[in-house]
Amino acid sequence: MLSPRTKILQSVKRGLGRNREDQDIDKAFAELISHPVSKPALDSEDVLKRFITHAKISSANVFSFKSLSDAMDHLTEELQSQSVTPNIVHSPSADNFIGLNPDLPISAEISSENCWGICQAWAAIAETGTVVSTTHDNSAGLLFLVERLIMIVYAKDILAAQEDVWRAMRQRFKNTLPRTINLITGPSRTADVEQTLQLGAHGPRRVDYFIILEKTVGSRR
Amino acid sequence: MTEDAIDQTTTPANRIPLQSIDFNSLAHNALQDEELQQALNKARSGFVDKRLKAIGAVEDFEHLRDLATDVRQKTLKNLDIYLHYFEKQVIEHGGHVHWAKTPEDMRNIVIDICQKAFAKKVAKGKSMVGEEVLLNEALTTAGIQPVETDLGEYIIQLAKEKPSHIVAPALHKTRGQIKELFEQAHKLGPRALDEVKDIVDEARKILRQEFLSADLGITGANMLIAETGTAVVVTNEGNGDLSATLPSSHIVTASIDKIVPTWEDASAVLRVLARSATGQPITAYTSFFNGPRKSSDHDGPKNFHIVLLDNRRSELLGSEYQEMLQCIRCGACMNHCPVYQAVGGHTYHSVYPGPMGAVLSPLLFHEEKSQNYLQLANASTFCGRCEAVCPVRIPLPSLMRRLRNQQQQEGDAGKMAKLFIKIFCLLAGQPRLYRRVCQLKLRLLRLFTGKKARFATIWGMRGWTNYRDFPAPPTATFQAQWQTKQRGNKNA
Repeated sequence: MLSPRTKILQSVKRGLGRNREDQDIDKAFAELISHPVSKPALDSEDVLKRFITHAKISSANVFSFKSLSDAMDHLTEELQSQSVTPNIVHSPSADNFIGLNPDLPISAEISSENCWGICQAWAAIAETGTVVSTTHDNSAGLLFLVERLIMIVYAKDILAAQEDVWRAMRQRFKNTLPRTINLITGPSRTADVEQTLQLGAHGPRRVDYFIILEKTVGSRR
Repeated sequence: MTEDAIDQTTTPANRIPLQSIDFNSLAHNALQDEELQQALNKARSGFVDKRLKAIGAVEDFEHLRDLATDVRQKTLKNLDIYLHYFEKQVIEHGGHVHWAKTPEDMRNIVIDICQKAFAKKVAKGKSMVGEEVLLNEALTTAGIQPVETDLGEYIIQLAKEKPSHIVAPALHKTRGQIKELFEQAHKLGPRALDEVKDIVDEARKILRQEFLSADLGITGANMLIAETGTAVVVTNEGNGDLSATLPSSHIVTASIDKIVPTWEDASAVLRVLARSATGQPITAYTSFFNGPRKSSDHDGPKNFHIVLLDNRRSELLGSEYQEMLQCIRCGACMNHCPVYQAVGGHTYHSVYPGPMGAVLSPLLFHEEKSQNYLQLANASTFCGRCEAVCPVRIPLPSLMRRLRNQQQQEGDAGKMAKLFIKIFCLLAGQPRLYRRVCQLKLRLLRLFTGKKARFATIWGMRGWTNYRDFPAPPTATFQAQWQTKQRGNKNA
């Protein structure tokens, strides 16, 4: 009795008019694939400007700072103006940032209300105003469970298009990819009720990108 | 889908009483349904306008369509190699691949995984393949509670209905109907639920608890990347990610045609998918799941399963319907279809409605159920809008035409339709007779119209004139008018 796997693959081969079994699947695959530059032509000179424009279109809030400490000054000032102090959770990727202010109301657990999450993006994509996170750097759960997500994005890590990120991904991770690579573009949303757009479905209601312009620092390795 | 239809898939084919799915009757009911028409009116221009705006913002959307079409076509040409390599990658990275030839295979595989994981509650992200195989019903029968977490899917789960659109499953529901469903299901006492924000906030609160307490997560996949054994999930709500991340096991249910070769190929498809579906350059979340959690990951499930469904798709390869496998489930075709816009998705009586459903439903479900799915190929005016907007250039009207031929050959076309076609074939084969008959017909019709420009009613054609006037015929046939004009030109 043939297994479903054999039946399916045989049926596929029959449809394609293929009789032979591929002995070396790695070789057969390698011969087929190529990495064509299929992305649309993009102005790579001003990735920062393009990133900011598209991020704002996706309803993310974008702030640019000369340095990480400037970003912390901004956050500290904002916290002082809150009528209810939020819980702040963070990923180890944001340790450098968090360490700049030992008085931050850091929590070990994510609460369902009034919880801010702070992470550092591994990369960002100018084409769509998207930030890229991996589970090697951040908890995927944190990205989705908090009410407000703050992503620290180094300007040096903003790339023009998705394909540039995939190239960097192969260089960094080689054959062992992280469990998840998340592309995040603005807050969560739904239009399932009468096609009316509403921000804040199951993920964060608000997403902020803190862009650090300091040129000598970045996260991609 | 009714309870009877559910029975059809769990009962052996030779004991299923043939159910008559009559599109015309269902369409008639849909046109009389005021709440449905109200919901469809709200959706009608939204999808179309948003798509137009999104594609207008890119320099050359046609080039993006070409790139995506190329990816889908080249993948199908070597699907066996890509499937085999995909499986190898998943296994090498610690995941499991299960192969399901039939819907029953898929149901059994998923239930088996759930039972081995001692799962009592499952958080589900949207999966059209899961709908196709009636997975929720099977899970419930096996004592496992599936909780739909996509807001649209959650709404129709509460309503005990099937999705009416492949991207917006609750498109047929009004705000008032959703409010009623929530009041009955959640029992939270008197509260404000009139605004969209109130409804979404309540769903967020209720489903957050489900995410946190689910034993296992099941999602679909928009694509499967052969290069690395990756499942790609595209959402706006974040429910797919929460379902795939928080529980200790993640099952991905996907059909074999979801494969793309590389990450670059995935990008080519992503560029047209969100623009065509929801009018966005990219959705809020595009997530790539590469296997189970490793020690270097901060979180994620320890178990990763991909369940691949065939359900006759392999038989479409090499056939005249192969192009249908290029579909990326964006929903653009149904958003632009005048038939779908008028009657909604439930009229098609299939998990796949609209133009893509009119082709795919008879191909997937032809032999197991009654032959009635072939009739869906007639739910089209052949206006061509579906093909014009399809991001991967599927020639949907041509495929529907082939299915109509098949319906004729299988003897399933209506008697009147067959008679009219026979008469037309007879006339069309004799041009002189054709012209004489047309001229006679015009003279007869002019006796009734007199000076009227249009008919408000015509006996025997109420299906048309109930909703629109019929133009009065001209004084002469086109050919007669042409000949007169040619004679006039010669004399001048």
